[in-house]
Amino acid sequence: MLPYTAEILAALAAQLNGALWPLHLGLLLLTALAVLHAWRPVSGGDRAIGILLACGWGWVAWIWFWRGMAPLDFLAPIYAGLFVLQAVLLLAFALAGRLAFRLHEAAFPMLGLGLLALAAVGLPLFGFLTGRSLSQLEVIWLAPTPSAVATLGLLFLVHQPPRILFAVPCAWALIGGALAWTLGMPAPLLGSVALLAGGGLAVLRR
Amino acid sequence: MTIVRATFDRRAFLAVTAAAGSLATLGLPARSAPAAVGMRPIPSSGEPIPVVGMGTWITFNVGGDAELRNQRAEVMRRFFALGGGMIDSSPMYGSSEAVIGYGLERLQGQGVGTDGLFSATKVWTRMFANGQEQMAESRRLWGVRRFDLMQIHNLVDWETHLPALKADREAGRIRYLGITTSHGRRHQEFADLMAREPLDFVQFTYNILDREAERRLLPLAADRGQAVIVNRPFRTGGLFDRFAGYPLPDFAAEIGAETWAQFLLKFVLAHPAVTCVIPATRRVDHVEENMRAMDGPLPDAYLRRRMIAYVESL
Ligand SMILES: NC(=O)c1ccc[n+]([C@@H]2O[C@H](COP(=O)([O-])OP(=O)(O)OC[C@H]3O[C@@H](n4cnc5c(N)ncnc54)[C@H](OP(=O)(O)O)[C@@H]3O)[C@@H](O)[C@H]2O)c1
Repeated sequence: MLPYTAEILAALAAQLNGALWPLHLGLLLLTALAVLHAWRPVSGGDRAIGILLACGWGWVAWIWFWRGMAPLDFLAPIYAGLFVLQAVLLLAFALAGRLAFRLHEAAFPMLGLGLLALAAVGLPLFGFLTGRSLSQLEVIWLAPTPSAVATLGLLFLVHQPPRILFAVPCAWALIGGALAWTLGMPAPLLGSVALLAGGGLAVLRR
Repeated sequence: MTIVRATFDRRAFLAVTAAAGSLATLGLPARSAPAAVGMRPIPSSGEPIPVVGMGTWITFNVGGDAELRNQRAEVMRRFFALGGGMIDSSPMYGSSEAVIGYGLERLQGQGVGTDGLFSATKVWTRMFANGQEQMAESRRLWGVRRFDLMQIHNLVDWETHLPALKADREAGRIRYLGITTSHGRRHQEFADLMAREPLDFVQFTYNILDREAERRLLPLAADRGQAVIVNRPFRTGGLFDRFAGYPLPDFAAEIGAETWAQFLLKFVLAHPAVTCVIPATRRVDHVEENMRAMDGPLPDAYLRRRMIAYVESL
C-alpha cells in the first residue's frame, strides 16, 4: 500500500508547476526544436539533443523524485536512481555519437511524433478531463511519465536507436503504471500503457 | 448499562483504573461489558489515556502543501478539543511527522492547548538508517523533547532497537516502549516478544473482520499487562467501502452508534484487552464522528456476536 494519495500527487504537481512556471514553455520549445532538428538536421544538433535529453532525465530525478517525492515516499530515491541511470545511458550514447535524430530515416517517425504529441498535449489534457485542475497537470520534463513518453517519442525519431535506451522507460511504465492504477490516476496510467506499447514495439522489432 | 464519559484530565486519575481488573478478564462475560469510559489505564503505570487516538499513515503525508497542512492542523485542533490524546506516526509515513510538528506548532501559536498529546512514534530503520539518529530527527520534526511512546515498527531490526529502547526508557529519554505489527504479519515472533520482553505497549490490527488477534495477541497482552493499541480499525477505509451501502442494524441504537465508524470503533473498544484505538482521518467531521465512539455504552459479548453476524451477512 502506498503512503500517499492521488490528491497529494496533484498537490505536488501544483507546487512544482507554481514554482517553475514559465520554465515549462522553455522546455516545450526545446522539445519542438529537437523535432525540428530531426526534420532538418543541423551540425552538432544530435549531440546537443542527446545531452539535453540526459539532462531532462536527471532533472526529473532531482525535481520530481528527490525534491518532491522523497519526503512522501521512502521508495522515491530508488525511482530517482532509475531516472539517473537513463540519464547516464543517454549521455553515453549522445557523446558516442550514437543518437542521430532523422525523421526521414527513422523506422516509425509517425509513432514518434504521435508519442511526443501525447506527452506534451494529450496526457495533460486527459489529466484535465479526468479531474485535475490546470495548475495540477503533470507535464513533460517535470513529471516522470510524460517525460518518459516524450523520450520514447524522440527515440522513435532516431535512426536505429540503441535498444537498451528503451529499458528504463519500460521499467518505469511498469512501476508508474502500478502506482497510477493503485491511486486511480487515469492520465499516468494511459502514459504507462503507451510506454509499454511503444517500448515493446521497439524491442521486438530488430 | 450506564454510560460514563470520563473527564479528560489525565492527572485526575479515573475510576477506570478500577476496571483494570476487568480488562484483564479475557473471556467476555455473557451479558456484561466494560463501560464506554473515555479513558483507560496503561497497565504498566496506571496512567490513563483516551481510548480513541489518531493514526497518521497516508492521511498526514501531505508534503509541503500549505493548504493541506493547515487542514490537518484543523483535524488536530478538533481532536484535542474533543479530548484526544495519542497521535501515532512513524518515519515510514513520509512527511507525516513533519506535518504533526507543523500542526502542534500552529495550534500552540494560536494558544490552543495540546497538553493532552500522547506522542507515539516508531523507529523504522531501513537502508542502513541509524536508529538513534532517526529518533532524534523524529523529535525534531514533532517538536517534542521526548516521546511518550517509542515503538519498533513492524519489528524491523528489533534485535538492535529493543536493548537501546530499554536503556532509553530507563534513562527517561522515552516514557514507554512498544512493538508494532499489522495485517496479521509475524504474529508468532510478535507473541514471543510479548511473552518474554518487558513491553509497555503492543500495537497490531484488530477490527470486526480481522479478528485473528483475539486468539493469541489480545489474551497475551492482558495476561502480560501490556497496553494494546489497535491499528487499522477500518481496514484503512476498506470497511467503509464494503459496508457503506448498507444500513446499520437496528441494535446499533442500543450502543448509541449512529454511524458505521462508531459501530466499528465500539466493536474494537469493547474488547477488554484493548487500551486504545487509532483511526486515521483527513477530515474534521470524521474525527468528530470517531471521537464520539467514546460516548455511550459498548456492546457486550452477545451484542458483539450479533455485530459480527450482521456484517458477515452483508
Ligand atoms: N505496523 C504499524 O505500525 C501500523 C500499520 C498500520 C497502521 N498503523 C497505524 O494505525 C493507524 C490507523 O490505520 P490505517 O490508517 O491503516 O487505517 P484506518 O484507521 O483503519 O482507516 C483510515 C481510513 O478510514 C477513513 N475514515 C476515518 N474515519 C472515518 C469516518 N468517521 N467515516 C468514514 N471514513 C473514515 C479515512 O478516510 P478519511 O480521511 O476520508 O476520513 C481513511 O481512509 C495508521 O494511520 C497508523 O498510525 C500502524
